[in-house]
Amino acid sequence: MDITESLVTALTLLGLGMAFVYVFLGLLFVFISLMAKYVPADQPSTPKQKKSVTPKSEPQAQMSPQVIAAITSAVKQYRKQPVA
Amino acid sequence: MDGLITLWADTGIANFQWSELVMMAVGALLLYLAIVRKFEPLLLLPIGFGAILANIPNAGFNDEGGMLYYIYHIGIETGIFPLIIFMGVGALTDFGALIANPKTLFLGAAAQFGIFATLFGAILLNLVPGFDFSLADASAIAIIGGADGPTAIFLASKLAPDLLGAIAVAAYSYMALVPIIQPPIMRALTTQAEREIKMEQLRPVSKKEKIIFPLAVLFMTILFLPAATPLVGMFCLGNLMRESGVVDRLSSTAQNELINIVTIFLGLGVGSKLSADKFLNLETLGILGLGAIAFSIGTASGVLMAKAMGKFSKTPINPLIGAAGVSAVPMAARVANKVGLEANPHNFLLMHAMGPNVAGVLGSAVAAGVLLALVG
Repeated sequence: MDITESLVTALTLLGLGMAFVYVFLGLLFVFISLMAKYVPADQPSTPKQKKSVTPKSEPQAQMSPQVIAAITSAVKQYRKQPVA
Repeated sequence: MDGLITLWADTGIANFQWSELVMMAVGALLLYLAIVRKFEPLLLLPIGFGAILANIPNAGFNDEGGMLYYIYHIGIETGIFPLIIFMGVGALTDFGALIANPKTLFLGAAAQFGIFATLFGAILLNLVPGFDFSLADASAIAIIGGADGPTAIFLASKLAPDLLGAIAVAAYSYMALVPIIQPPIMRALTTQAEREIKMEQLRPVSKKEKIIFPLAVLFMTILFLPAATPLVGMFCLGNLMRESGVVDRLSSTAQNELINIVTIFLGLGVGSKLSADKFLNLETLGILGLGAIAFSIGTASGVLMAKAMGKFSKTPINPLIGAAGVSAVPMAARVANKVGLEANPHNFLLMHAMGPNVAGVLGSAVAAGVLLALVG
């Protein structure tokens, strides 16, 4: 192929290629913008957290004061150890 | 005595040709860059070692029946290795920043100008005696400007298999050199005030959007550019595995074990193409030069596009993130972040730069598809 002919082809490719890349990503832009409008956002996870908190609090309520006292004293003893 | 002579005739010393020694030195240079300078070690190390293996006299690595011969024919000539890597890259990519700020798609598109401008440059180089690039060769060389290794290897294996070694080495070398090539261009094209621009925080992106996105990209590619579906399809598969959250095992395999295994073989396969007869010529020098130009033009057009967009956009845009439009994920985004921090130590651009960065991956895959459709 003649060099000027190749250069013209290259120039066509340059224009066509860039135009296509822009059109393609431009369409994707439109799509993402639409998606942002119409796809609902994730539900904030607070209700789930409430659920997960409640089972934890139940055993705490059931825990007898004796057990709590035993754990507290054990923790206190443990905390004393490294200092000594 | 005859046995001794036969044995001598079989040694490497008796069979070396100077060109093989030079190629082994090139392989050793790649090993040096990988091990000492830490330039893209994951690829340059197997490529460098592959180059040494491929040039051992009498070992027949590259002859039919040799290991590198099969690795190349099974994985690279068919295009399968770069595609599997692309699936892993998809599984590693979080499109959140892009979905939150879709304007950055245009930055990823602008940076592809480097590819098409280099195509022009490669043809222009034919005016210099000693160069004879066909349009297919020029397209394969130009894709280096996309700064995307798997895409470059995929396109080169389809359009210009003879130039594959040089193209792959150039692509990965320049990707490793992103922190050196880009900052001077970015500084030259922006003012201090522009580099200090703070961008608004990105909105949270819902899981549904992240799942729909890869499917939408695939759908659009099917409609408008089927030639790009091998690349985009594998990329979207990886991304869907990641975002769907139901196949964590597959997603984790794609982004760890599988991509690692294939990287070893891809590197060896590319290294096998670094044989003296195909690498030691003027064209390789031309490819290395054109690659650097492609990269620089891509960076510059990304920055200029970001500047232009900043003038019209309601929300502020820091032009530095435009440079991340060349793919090279996540290195280019990190560079944008670093140059931004130099101007304003409290300005973190990393997340904002990830938008154009992943848009660049899509952009270069689309550009590769265009070249395949028009030239291939």
